[in-house]
Amino acid sequence: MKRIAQIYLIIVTAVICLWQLPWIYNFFTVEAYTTPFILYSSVVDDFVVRKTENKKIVCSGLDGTTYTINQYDSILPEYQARQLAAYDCLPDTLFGRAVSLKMLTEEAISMRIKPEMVFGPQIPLYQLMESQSGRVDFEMPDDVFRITDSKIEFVIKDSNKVNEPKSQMFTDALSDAGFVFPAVEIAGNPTSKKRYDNGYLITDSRNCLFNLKMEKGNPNVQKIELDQQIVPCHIFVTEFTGMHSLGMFFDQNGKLYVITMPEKEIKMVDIPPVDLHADEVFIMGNIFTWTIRIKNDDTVSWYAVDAQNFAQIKSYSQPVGYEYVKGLDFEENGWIVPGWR
Amino acid sequence: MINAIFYKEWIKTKWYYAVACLLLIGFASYAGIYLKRVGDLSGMAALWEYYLSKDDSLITIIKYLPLIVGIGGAVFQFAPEMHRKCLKLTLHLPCGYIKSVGAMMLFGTGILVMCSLICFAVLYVFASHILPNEIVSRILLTAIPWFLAGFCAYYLTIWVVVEPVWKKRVFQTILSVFVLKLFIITDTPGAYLPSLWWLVPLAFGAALLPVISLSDFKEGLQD
Repeated sequence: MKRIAQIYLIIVTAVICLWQLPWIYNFFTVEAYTTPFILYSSVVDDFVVRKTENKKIVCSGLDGTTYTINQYDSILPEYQARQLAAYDCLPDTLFGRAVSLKMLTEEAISMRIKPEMVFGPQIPLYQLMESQSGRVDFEMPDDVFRITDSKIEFVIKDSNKVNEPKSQMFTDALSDAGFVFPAVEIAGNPTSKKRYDNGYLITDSRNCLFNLKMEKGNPNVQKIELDQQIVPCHIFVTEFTGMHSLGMFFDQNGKLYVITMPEKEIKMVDIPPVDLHADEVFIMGNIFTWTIRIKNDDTVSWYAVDAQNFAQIKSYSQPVGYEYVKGLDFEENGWIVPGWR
Repeated sequence: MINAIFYKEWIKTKWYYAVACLLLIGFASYAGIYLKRVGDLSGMAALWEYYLSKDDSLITIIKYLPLIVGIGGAVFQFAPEMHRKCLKLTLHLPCGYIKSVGAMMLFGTGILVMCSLICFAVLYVFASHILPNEIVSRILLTAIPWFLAGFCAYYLTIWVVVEPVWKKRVFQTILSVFVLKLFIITDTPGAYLPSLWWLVPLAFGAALLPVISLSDFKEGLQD
């Protein structure tokens, strides 16, 4: 018995040392590192870096060309439109296309996808908002829904009871659209802080993709046509002000696709496959181009893609500028899972 | 013999465990009533939305209580034995020291299991009345590591209390703090779900450690 107790003690002591010693070392040695803010400029056809050095903003190109802050505004007119408009310097055409401040600000997009958003602990209950309430401000619904093996169930928040008629109506609508229960992926943005509602994007048991919305209390289900070999794995509904996309998804190989609006066409974004377990994706875009940053523990990469056909224009990578000693860690994407990180 | 040890432990700790049990049930009831009151005052919809949008279980008031109860149980059971130097008698009972101390620990474990189950039942009754199963299970899952920490703290405290060598006690106390930290790394509801498979043996495996201290004690080690 004493021998077993000693083995237990040795294992536990080793685990605690592997966990705490690297942490203590990193705590005292790792230096602050900020990922540089980089955007693609269509004007100079290159990435432009903006960072703060000695409390001063320094802007430069990748080739070392330095820019003043005013030059920075001028070579990124799509992003700095408000600043240019303030000095009455906003051009009325950009790359042969008539633009306005309203247009440029409304077409700007920003989206961040972190591993914990995809793989973190989530409660499998969802809130379907009314898409056509006729009101400018959204209100949160008075029920939540869950998708079981055979149906969709709406549970009323006040009474904690299933709303049977509504559940039946939505189950029938999904089945009529060809949805085969149960669901595999369910994605939506249940928040009242948005301009419009794109509902939910849901994949069924055959990996077919559906768009579910509630319009004036009634279900509106539309199947989105996909190539057979594309399996949407991680789906995100987008509700950008410009209304040019319904959502995005990563397929089984980590390739990123955009579902365009209003035609609901699937377009592949020309960037390398993303491993959402490790990669953090940050997208900043405008009417002409998107800059996509993919960051993990080792590398940060930036890709400029065309905002219409998502073809890659340019890319740039650099190693992450800090090093740390790996050790036993228990936190991963919001879960407690032991791992060597 | 074992029944006699159980009876001795009962005489020694009944008031402590009665108060501890009442405290646990009281705090669990408070947590349950708190959920209900938040629902009544802000509306059930607001309570549901809070759970769906925030990483909070709203029952963190009971987080450290099982741990404190576990430490207290070990101290109340074993500190008097060490102080009055009567643990030696227990170690020389005809049934063997592992069996006799094991019976004492089994008594404490049994009471802690009972308290924990009552707490979970209280939380379940309050929460399941106003919240759907998905949220209730997430709340209860959040509390499981806290209660496992209670068991682990109980065994680790016995390990420290019955250790006769002070230098070893210091090492054991430091190690125990880090081991217990493993159970309370995060409050994110349900975050411990993939780790319960190793947390349960970690918590109950700590019951082996007092054997090392008792062995030192039997050999008469001291500093």
